[in-house]
Amino acid sequence: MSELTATPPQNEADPAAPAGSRRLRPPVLVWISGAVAAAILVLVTVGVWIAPYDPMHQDLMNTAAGPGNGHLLGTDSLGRDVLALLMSGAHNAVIGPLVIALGAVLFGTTLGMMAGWYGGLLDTLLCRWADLMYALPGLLVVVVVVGVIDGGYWLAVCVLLVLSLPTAFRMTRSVAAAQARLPYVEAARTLGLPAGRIIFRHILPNIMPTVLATFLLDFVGALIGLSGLSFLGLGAPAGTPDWGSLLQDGQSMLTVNPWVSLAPGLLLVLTATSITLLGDWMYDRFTEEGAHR
Amino acid sequence: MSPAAATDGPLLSVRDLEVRTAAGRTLVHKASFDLKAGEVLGIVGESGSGKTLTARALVQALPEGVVADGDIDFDGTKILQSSARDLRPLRGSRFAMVLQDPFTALNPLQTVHEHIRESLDPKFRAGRVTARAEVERRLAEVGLAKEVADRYPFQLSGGMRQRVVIAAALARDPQLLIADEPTTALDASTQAQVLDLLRTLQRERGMALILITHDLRVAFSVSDSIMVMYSGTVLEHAPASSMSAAPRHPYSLGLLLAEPSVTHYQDTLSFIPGQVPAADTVTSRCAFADRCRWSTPSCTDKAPPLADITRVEDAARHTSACVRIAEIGAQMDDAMRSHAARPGIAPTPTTGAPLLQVTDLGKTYRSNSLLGRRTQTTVLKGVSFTLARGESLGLLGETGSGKTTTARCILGLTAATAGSIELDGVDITDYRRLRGEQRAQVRGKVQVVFQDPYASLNPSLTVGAALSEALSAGAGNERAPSSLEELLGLVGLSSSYAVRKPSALSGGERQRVAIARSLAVGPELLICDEPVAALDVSVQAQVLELLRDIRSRFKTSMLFITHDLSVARQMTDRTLVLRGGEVVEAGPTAQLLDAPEHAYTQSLVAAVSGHAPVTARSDR
Amino acid sequence: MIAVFVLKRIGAGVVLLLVLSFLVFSLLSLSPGTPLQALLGTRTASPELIDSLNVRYHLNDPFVVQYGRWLGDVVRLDLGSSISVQGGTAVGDILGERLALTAELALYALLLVLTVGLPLGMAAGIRRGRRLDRAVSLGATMAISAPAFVMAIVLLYIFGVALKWFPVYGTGTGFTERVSHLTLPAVTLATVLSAVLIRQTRAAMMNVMSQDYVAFARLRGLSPRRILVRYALRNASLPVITSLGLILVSLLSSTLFIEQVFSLPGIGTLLLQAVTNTDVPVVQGTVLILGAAVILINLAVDLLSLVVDPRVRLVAKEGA
Repeated sequence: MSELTATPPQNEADPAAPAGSRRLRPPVLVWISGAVAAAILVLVTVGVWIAPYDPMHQDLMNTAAGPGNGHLLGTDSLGRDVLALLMSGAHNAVIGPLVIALGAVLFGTTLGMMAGWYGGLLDTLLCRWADLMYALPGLLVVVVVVGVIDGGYWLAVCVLLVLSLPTAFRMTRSVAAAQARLPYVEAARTLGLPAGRIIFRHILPNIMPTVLATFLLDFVGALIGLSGLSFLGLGAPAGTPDWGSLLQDGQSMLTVNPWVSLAPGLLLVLTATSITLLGDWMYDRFTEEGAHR
Repeated sequence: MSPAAATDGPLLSVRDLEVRTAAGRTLVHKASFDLKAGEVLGIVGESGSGKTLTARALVQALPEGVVADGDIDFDGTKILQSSARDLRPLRGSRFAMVLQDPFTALNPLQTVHEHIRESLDPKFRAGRVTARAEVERRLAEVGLAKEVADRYPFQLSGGMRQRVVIAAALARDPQLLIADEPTTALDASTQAQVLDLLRTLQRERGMALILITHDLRVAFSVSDSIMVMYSGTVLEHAPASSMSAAPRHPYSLGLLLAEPSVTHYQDTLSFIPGQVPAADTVTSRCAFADRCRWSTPSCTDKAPPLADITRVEDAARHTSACVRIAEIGAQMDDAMRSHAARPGIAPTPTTGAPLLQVTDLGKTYRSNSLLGRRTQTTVLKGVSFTLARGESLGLLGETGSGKTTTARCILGLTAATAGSIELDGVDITDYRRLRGEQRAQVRGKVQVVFQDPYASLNPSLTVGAALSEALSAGAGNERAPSSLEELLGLVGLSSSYAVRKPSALSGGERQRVAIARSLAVGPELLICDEPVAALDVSVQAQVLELLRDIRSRFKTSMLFITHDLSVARQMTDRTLVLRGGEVVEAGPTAQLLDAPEHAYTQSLVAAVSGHAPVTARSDR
Repeated sequence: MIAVFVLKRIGAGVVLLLVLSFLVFSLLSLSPGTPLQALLGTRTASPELIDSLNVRYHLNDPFVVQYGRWLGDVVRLDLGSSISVQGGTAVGDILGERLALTAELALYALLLVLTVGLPLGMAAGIRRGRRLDRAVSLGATMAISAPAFVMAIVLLYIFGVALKWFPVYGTGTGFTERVSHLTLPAVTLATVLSAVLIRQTRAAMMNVMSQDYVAFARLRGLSPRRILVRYALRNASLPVITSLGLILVSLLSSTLFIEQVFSLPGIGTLLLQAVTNTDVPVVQGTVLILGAAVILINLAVDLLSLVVDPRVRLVAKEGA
């Protein structure tokens, strides 16, 4: 509805405006989300060291056993400890998405700021490209590309990165373009400041919340996508502990030890929900569009 | 004024109205007033005065998180004690409200017909034919053709939308209409028409009207009585005639004097120093004391009551919240008299060599529509003018006249599609063609001050950081100030402002910082794009005085873009009137405003309320 | 005018499909496993067998010639026959069979969204800030963050393995059995779709309810019902419709995972099988069908927004 909104020159301050929309997401949930995210990060870095067993140790006398007997979540079809697999699998589950989100934000933000700042043909071309990419069913594309080339984990990461670019691009482009039209940026242009200085010193700090929120949301998308690929057998290489492949292995053991599937699944949901909540909260709290939602 | 004004007992009676945030912060303090049937009350105040909250409390339409307390009696209904369910049948049929912005007040997915039909009394709403006829009658009443009924809001101009809003609000013939800044978002000529319409409708129907406005001239042109609010409290409530002739509160006087005159040049623009305090901080004292030249300790001892000071010459009850009014009344009358008797003489412009030469400037936007069809919009056509060194030239026009586009072309923020611009002998039509060094030189010569003080400063940089950056951009120019302190001093700010962020500044202070930033490179031409349009009246004059001071001190040439005739009168030597991207009239400002030749300029001048009707020069 | 618009878009869509099929064809030529290996399977690779297979499937022709031949056949509505997924069967037949199942699943899910998901979301939007709203919102956030395959497995475990209410895999024969087999997959798909729609509608509702026109409607004493339907819901539906294309397209991906978990032979599992076996004609055929689906979905959504929003409609009329 933006084309209809005129800015009235005299506007009495509305003291209640900022409060209303923000009450609905209790900060308690945000704190919990932060704690979960931190815990996952710990697992990513030292999970393999603090795991109760060697995740690759096969106990063929004790396969697909339910919880108990020293195994908190039981064992998988090869007798490996599920908890140990989960803890050490965090690395594979999270590192790829981190790389994807970082790369997408880095390249997407740069392209977005360039498009928003320069406008014109560059902007039009980039936007058309983003529209086209956006219209693709991303995961299906990854399945086709990774499946056909049989490229494994890092190819999947690269393809997902490329597919995540449009989101980051679009979000930063629209806010950067909005900032570029504000008088303070135009005043900086009138002073003759170089474009790089205006973009990095004036525009970037003011769109940082959007960039961070984009990073978190991209991360969730990549986490789901990459573990999904592992679930289909196209992601993590066979033999390394990974949440997605564990989930798939466990599907055939649902009757004997459901935890092989359920535990990594719930862990995925928990991680994704926490990060989404953090991203939402950040978007609502720190960005202008969010504040008006 | 109105025929129905003589009924007994008030239609609306407000006693000790308090408006607070849910957290308990006071926003409106002890507002009390009465309104008779058929009477027009103007509530006047600057931003933060609580005028809008007061009006919204009257119809239980406060924003979320704000609560009201006190007694509001509307024709026997205790408004604040009624439930939303009880009030709904009264809405539209007994009282109605018109909002400030006609651009957002209508449902974008509904036609005008649907808007008015849904607002009608059920007995007209039912039948298709009856409803259609009634809608057309209502449209005719607000001066709209019946074809308008099938249009969607986005197909209408702002003025037409506001007429539709008024028709919808009055569709069930309420006894009271509250209009919150109904003309603020509109152009001057449309403003006058909408105000006329409101006044006519009010008289024909004998309806009571509460008009909320920041503009005293607007209030005078419509109201029977005027209530002045400041920082959440009522300071004076007087018959309109008494208020305009002899205000009985220093703040009312200050507001009247601060309004720049449209009829004559003023040597000094009077203004109220300082800024509006938060309502919560002044509940137990006179809210205006800190900015009042007559203030004594007795003013801040306790909250001064609204006392009856009705005199023989008052047409109705007159109250004032100034405890010293008996002592200082005579001095205030003197101030009014000397203000009226002092039409200053505009300084004769010291015209030097041409600094800026604009020839046949044109700008056309091309865009691709959804279905791939190209559309062209021409916003500037054949605009030519010359600006001499030391001169101040006004660009006067309404929304869409192309005045801001002209400025943006000169600043190199957008490229003209036709014509040429020359600044101090350098062709700057296309900044991209300038060599780096040349471009830097041009950037040092022309600077700009924008309208919106809130978006003019980078929220993440301190004042000091922003100004230092500007100073380093202007390093090497001998006209540029040498230090941050000097720069802040130029705009009347102490050096302690350097560490503040924009969010800690008021609108007027931000605009001062924006002006300082433009002065940092020592420009020869300063483009002022509506620099006071977003500021309160009491602050406007401060900023205008500052700009005058800069002009006389540095002999800076100015291009003054404004929609406001009085600002053009006070700030410019010569004025160009723009309309639809073309210059329709140009000439010395005084001559142009006193005796406009072009019909459009005449209509602009005539639209200024309170201004004597003008006659074309040929009639004299 | 609208017809011109639709024709233009369909034309552009055909071009896009061409580009897409060429890209996929090129991609397939990069595949490490050759179709020959797939065709040979466990048989001994005698030179005669290899020759006969090469001749039969034109495997020795240059890349471009192969693509040209494939394209020529497609124009005659012949998508070729499967190499390894269902050796020898016409791709058109396989697609028809698989598509039917996926369509049944999608329809079932859509029914659930319309009868359960959306009403729940609206109820939450109306009772904004109350307990129901909070519960639904948190549920939607979790559902949106939960990968489809996790949700599918959890439902499969609870209702299939633990409670034994529904069958664990397969498609079943006859209407009742088919419904019971498709219930869990459809519920999963419907939850994913509802979650996205609820979140979007809710955000849009909050935005609309704070608009001036809603305040003005209240000030005129219009009935709460009218304000809700004509003002809030109608305006809130605009941004949701705009993003409906993206939502529906992303749903195609979810279908793949859901079919995989429940071992349903739908179009998604077909794609996966064809891709992992490098069955060129099947991959090409599936991609073509999915691509066409994406293009049609986006076109339908654009047409829908043309119907709902007078601004777009009138601009379109003047433009064409």
